[in-house]
Amino acid sequence: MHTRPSLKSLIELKISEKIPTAFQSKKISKSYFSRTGIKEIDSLLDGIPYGEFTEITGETSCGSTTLVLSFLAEITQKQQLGAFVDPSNSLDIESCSTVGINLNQLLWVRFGQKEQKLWEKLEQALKVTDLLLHNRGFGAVVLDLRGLPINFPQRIPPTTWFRFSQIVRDSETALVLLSRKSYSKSAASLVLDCYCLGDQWTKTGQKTEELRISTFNGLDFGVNLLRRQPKKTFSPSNIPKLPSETIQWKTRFS
Amino acid sequence: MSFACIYVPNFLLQALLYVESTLRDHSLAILDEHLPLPRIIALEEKARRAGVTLGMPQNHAALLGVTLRRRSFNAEKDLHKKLIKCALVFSPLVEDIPFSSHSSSNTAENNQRGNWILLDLHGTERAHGSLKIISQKIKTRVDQMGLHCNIGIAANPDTAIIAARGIAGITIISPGHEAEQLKSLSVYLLNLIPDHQKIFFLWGIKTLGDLANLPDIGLVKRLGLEGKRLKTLAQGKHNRPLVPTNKDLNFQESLELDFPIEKTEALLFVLFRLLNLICTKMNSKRLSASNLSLSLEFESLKLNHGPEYKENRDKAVYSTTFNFPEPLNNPHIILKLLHLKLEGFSPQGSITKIHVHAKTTRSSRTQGLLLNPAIPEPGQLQLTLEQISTIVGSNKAGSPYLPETHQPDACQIKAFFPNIWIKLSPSTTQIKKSKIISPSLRRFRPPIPTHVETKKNVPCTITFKKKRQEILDVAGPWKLSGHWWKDSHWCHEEWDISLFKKKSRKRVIYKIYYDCQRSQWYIEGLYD
Repeated sequence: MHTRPSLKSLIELKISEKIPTAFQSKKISKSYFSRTGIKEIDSLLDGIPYGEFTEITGETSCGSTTLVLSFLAEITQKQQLGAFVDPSNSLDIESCSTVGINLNQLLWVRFGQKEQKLWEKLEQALKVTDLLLHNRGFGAVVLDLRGLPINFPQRIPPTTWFRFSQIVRDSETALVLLSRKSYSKSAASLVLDCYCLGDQWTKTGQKTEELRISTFNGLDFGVNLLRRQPKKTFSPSNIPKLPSETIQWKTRFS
Repeated sequence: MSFACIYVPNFLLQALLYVESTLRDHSLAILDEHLPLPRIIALEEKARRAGVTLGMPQNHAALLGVTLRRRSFNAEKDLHKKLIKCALVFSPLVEDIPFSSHSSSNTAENNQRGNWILLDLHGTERAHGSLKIISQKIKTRVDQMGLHCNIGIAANPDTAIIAARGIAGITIISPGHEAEQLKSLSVYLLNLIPDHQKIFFLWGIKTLGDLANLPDIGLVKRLGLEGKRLKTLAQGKHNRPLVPTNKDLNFQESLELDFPIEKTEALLFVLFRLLNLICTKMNSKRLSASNLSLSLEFESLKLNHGPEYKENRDKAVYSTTFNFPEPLNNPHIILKLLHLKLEGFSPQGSITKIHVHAKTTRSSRTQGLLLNPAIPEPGQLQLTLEQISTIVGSNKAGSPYLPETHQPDACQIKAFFPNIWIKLSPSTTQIKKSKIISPSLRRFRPPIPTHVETKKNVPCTITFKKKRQEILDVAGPWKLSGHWWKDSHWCHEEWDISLFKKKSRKRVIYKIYYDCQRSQWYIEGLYD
């Protein structure tokens, strides 16, 4: 009867000629991440990984758009190309400019016609994403499905997400999916759940009977790490521990 | 640097004899009929001996029994083209005086058009041998065309031209010996204007050596800076860059089909053959296509198929042009782009002739840096953008652009043309330090009309998704207006409001505005 370590050594010896690194997990270098520009997230997660599929979920006013735009700003400031596939046509260019995105380096694909069917928009958005990923020259490709009703993206076959995940693997492109719920399941190597912690108002304005005019300062957000998977993990001991605490960050109007 | 000049003396006469070789034994003189009184502008030695002189009127020359012929612009043009073709064998950089069929007011200048061609020989030694061997090769090639020519080689273009025009046969002027070799040549080789000709005649300046010895200050005082330029030309020191002719920067291929084509697939198959030929030629000259024109000739005349169809010799011709933002020289990528452009095209009849014409420019090849981020290959990026445009429609994909206005959501889309080859400077590579950022807005396009109740002009309730909700917090108003001088005048009063969402039990911040023109409230977007 072989013990577990001896069995492992025997297998390693047998297949060492064909697969020399079968039991060695590939360590992800820090250079494979791009910072998001948000200090709190970068210090805990290193940023968003290149060559992998990241999903950012959250309900309305959860901060996911601000997080993604800040990430795109970091990408475009490094003279890399960013792409934003926007089937709901909701990207605000003034916000992009305020966050610091180099607009020349950003490709915005919009689907503006309201009479166009949602299914058509969704299908086209997936086709465009596929083309951009195959190009392999973009630093980040963001697919924004937040503006669509939940039941539409839910019907996308899971194989689509696995295919996307395979295309970006070992490339220098970070694929980011913005959604209201997690659709990609295990295809995404990093899943972040964003939510709003609170909104900041300063009540200094004119008084009325029931409400008074305030100044809107910004929003406080929280991020939960739902999933984090390294590129190749064969040993259970290599599964990274998820940070137990919530990452908190804030936005403020300057 | 070395330049060679091929000069064809008595060009008008040689051009005519090139076309009508039977006239070689005649005492021939050429007339310019464009002049008010037709006069002799070129003549053979035999005609000279018969007493004919340059500028002699036609009727006087006719009395001397010489053969008179009209000047043939077509023959000159053809010969000039052949000379350029011959020069391009030895160097890709060729300069000439643009040939024009119109008579210029300056007769001498008009007669000199097309009679010399300048070549940049820098770097051609490895392909063709030493300067002596190259000059002999050029001379042999021109002689084979049945022409008599002079070759001048010098370190600067103008000295090469003067040497070729002034010295018969092959002349190679080594650097530093220009003044010495040019000194005995006539000063009129400098293409002097009539005023300068008169002045030099009065001064007794006959040769370039005489001019080269004149004092600088005195010459500039009397002739201005032109005097100084003429002196440096006479000394063989005048340097200028060669200005390559653009005539051969356009490449074209045509194919007349024995069996007409009726399907797009077959058309693309034939197109690839033509594109491959054009791209091979462009690659040999390190050029790329910036613009491609395609014209298809149909068997029968059908003109009711749109503006791209035109009538030409009782046949319908479909022509279209493709502009490439980034020059391309890969036939596979160009074919794919053509395929995408021709997707909606179905041949209306049988195609009998295909013509492809490419306008070229220099290839934009730049060495990327090792530590620069990955960037897409320009041709591949163009192809991807074209594919995306076919899916989403034109003007739906590109770089966002903010015009100079305060009008909300006035953004536009422009063609995506990123700076992908910019060398990163330390300031750009250094990533900005993390800081607190502003919340971003998600826009509703078009804005959602809504009903808002106000108290003392401050919003207090809003009807959203057919439900009336209390506004918890409100900030504003920010009054914006513009274009008051136009019909598209706009005036907004913007507010940020906070609502409680029962479903998620959280507060959501919206941006709403009151359109003063339409007297209507709209939801512009939400902060996310």
